[in-house]
Amino acid sequence: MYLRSWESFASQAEELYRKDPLGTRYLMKYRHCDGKLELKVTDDRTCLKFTTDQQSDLQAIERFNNRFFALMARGVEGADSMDPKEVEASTQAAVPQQHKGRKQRRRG
Amino acid sequence: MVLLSPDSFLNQLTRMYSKHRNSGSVFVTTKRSNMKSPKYREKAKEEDYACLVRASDGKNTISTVVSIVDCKLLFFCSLSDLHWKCDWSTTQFCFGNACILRIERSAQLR
Repeated sequence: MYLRSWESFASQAEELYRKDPLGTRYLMKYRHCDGKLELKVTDDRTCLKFTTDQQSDLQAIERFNNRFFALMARGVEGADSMDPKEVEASTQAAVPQQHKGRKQRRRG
Repeated sequence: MVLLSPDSFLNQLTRMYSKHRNSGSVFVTTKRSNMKSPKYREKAKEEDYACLVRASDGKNTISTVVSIVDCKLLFFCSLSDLHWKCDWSTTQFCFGNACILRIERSAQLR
C-alpha cells in the first residue's frame, strides 16, 4: 500500500514494527538513474510503502532511518529509553561538513 | 550471502552504489535478528538480538550485523546527482552533499 503523506507512513510504520519487532523488516530501494528512493516496511501481511524523488524529504527520511536503526539494534525498550538529545545530535552529525572557502593568507 | 564486518560492508556497499549509478537499483534491508535458525530463535535472550543489514543489487548480496553495543550506524540516502566523496577519516561515505551510511565508533557505549 502506497502512502502519500510522510507523516502517516512514519507513524504507521513504527506502529507496525512495535506490533511485531522480530517479523518486521525495513527495506530501502535506491535507484540513482531515476533519482528515486522507495521505503518499504512490511511484516508479510501489511506492507507500507513510500516513494520520493524530492530532496526536501531527505531530512525526515534520515530521522526515520535513525529511529528505525535504534529500534532494531537496541530493541523497542532500549530505543524508548534513548536520550532524545543523543538522537538529535547523531542526526546533525550525519550531514557532512561542507568545505569552506580557502582562507586568504596575509601577505607581508 | 557473505557476512562481512561493518567496515568492509560499507566498502562493498559504496562499490555497489557506484556501480549502479547509471542503471539498476540497490536494495538495503534491515531487520532485527539474532542470526539463529527458527528452532533456536525463541530461546534467545533479548541481548542476543542485533540489527541485520543486507544489501543487494539483484545479483550480489552482502550482509552485516550491527549491534548498538559496538557501533552506532546511521543510514541516509541522498537523491542528488553529485559525485562521490569518501572521507576515510571518519568512515563517512558521501553521495553528493549527503551521507549514505556512517559508522561511528562510540567509546562510551562499549
